[in-house]
Amino acid sequence: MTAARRRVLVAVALVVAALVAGGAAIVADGVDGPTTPSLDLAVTTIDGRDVAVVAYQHEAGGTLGRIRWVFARELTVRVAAVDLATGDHLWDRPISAAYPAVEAGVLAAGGGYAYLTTDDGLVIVDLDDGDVIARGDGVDGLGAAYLASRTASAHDAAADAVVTLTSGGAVLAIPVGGTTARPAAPDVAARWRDVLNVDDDRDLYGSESGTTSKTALTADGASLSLNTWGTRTDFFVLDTAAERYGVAAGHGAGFLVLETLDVPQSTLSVVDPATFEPAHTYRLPGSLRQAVDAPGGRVLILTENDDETGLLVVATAGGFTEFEVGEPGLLWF
Amino acid sequence: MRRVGAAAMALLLASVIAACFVVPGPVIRTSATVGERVAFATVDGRQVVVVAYEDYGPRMPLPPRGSGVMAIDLATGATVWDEELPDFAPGPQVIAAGDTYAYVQHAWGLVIVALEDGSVVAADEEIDGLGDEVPQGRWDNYVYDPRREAILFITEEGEVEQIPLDETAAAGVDQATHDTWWCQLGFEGGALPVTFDVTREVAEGGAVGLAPPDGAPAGLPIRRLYARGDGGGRRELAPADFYAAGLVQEVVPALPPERSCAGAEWPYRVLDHGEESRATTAGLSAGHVVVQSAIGPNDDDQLLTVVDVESGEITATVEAAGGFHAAATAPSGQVVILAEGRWNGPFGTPGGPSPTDLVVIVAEDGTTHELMVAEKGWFGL
Repeated sequence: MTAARRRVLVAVALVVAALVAGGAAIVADGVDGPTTPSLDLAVTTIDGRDVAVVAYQHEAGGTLGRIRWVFARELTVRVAAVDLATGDHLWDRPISAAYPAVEAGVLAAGGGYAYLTTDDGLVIVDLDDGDVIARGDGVDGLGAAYLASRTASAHDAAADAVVTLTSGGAVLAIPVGGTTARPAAPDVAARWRDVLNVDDDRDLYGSESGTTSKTALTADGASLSLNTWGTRTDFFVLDTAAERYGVAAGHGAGFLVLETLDVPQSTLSVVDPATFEPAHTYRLPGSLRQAVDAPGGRVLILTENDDETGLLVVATAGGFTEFEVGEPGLLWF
Repeated sequence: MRRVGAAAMALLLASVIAACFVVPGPVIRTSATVGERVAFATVDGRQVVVVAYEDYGPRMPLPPRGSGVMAIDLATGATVWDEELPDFAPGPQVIAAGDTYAYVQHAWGLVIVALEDGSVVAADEEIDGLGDEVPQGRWDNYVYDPRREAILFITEEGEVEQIPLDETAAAGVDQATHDTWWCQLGFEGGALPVTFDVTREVAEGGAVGLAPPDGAPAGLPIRRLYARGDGGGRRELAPADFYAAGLVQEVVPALPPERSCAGAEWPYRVLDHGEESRATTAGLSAGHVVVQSAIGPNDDDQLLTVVDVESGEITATVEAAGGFHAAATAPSGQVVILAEGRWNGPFGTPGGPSPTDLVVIVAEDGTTHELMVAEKGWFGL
């Protein structure tokens, strides 16, 4: 081998090595991008761990994500089980890559399954691994009679069942923990027959501007109008004396979470329900999009950070812990 | 050996090129849009509808095929003639037809064709009196005024001129015509745009309409067709379930009131919103309605269903996946519906069927004829 040929070989090897290293760096960087959690989430237990089952919309980010955007609209709707103690994602699976993205919300979780309603119909996923068990016309007992509508399904708390309207006008129920739809009991059907599939204005990703007005009663009996994102937050006590106007949650958890409206960012505080004495405070990085009471003395709050990544904030009597929502992984499919 | 290889390669190349002209794909493709305005006429004693279309034909980078105008026999649905328009006539619409000529307006001017055979009599600057600066055809320039039996347009200098029906030369207009039309022709802020693809749930007069079945849950997406009963109440016409349904309407643009442009100021709204057109239920005068509905509760593809309003019989259904664009009733009674269908081609088009427009003729007995405009067959012809 001549010296010239050797030099060429070395140069080729260096170029190949640089390309491989660059490619590996891009892949390792991943496709994590903005995530927007759905306002409708459910809490359950998997293997003794309390988890929130959260649907969210994900836009591919990073260098690899931008490369992928060239070829397709890299927007997916995913569902993840987030450990409320550690923030670990037990699993995180895609449920739709349709464009424009479907809206999705978790109606209920328990008995081994989570139930999602989407613009494409009902989706049942396995709580152990996030596998889709059935969706749309594949749901047992529903089949071709399903309606591809987010509002066609709901959770009936009294019967602990997912109720759904068929294209023929029947109300079917799937008990939480089951996968087969059967005609709902007459009282359940009566509760839901004129409520399901009637359009509502809720915007589960909060991506459109718009607010919901609610009137809350203050501790002294006066009423106060509040504007918030279209959430289902319960308002019950407000500390007007201390000029803490805002949403309160935590009913029954032995503490309250109060929002103090500051510009530009609000502060949340965990307070004693009797004295309103703040024990812990948390500066909200984004808007307060959702606040729901969860078992185990927790209040779950949805907001977002500066990178537009959805945050799940867990408030307990011991304080606030924030977790990022979404771990789509390298290839995320 | 090398010679055999070269021959095989040449053969392969030749067959690939030949295949482009046999297999539907970039070269052979039907994709045409029919202009929303059509006109009716008589050719050799046959009642016809004259429609104009833009033929997108092959895909880029091949040159588009241009525009065409055709006459369709209303009794049989057969093509009487189908002729190309001169180059570059985008968005053509047939605005009027007399005894001898049909007038086709397009984005850049006007074409006059002979009703006898569709041949172009004069186009754009060839039209006497139009001059070299042909007035453009956007924003409702070149409209037909039945009161004056003339095609009216405005020149670049702001003069209203006319071509009387069945004539081929432009001429000036009287003061009354000028005062009626100058503010409604050919510029933004003039005539209100008219929407032709209108449906409504209940026909004018309320005798026929779509409604949820009795006792249906509030969110049920099903509609059924009802007629008003003799002693009040309602009578179900057809037991068919319609999804996301509406009754196809015929939309007729309104004419500006006489001399309404005199003293008007920009924007020249001589008609109030909602008065720029009048919608009537297509076919109702002939005793049927055309229901446009989705083919299923979870589908976007549309279906047109013709239902007799006396017997409730479904006399025809037409797959018009993209829905209808416009409807018009012929003096001879037929309803012409322009709709978007799907073209599959001789072997099925790679990449799925392509959307293309149909002309649907609903006869007075409720049966239909369908014609795919500018359809391509073998070799793209």
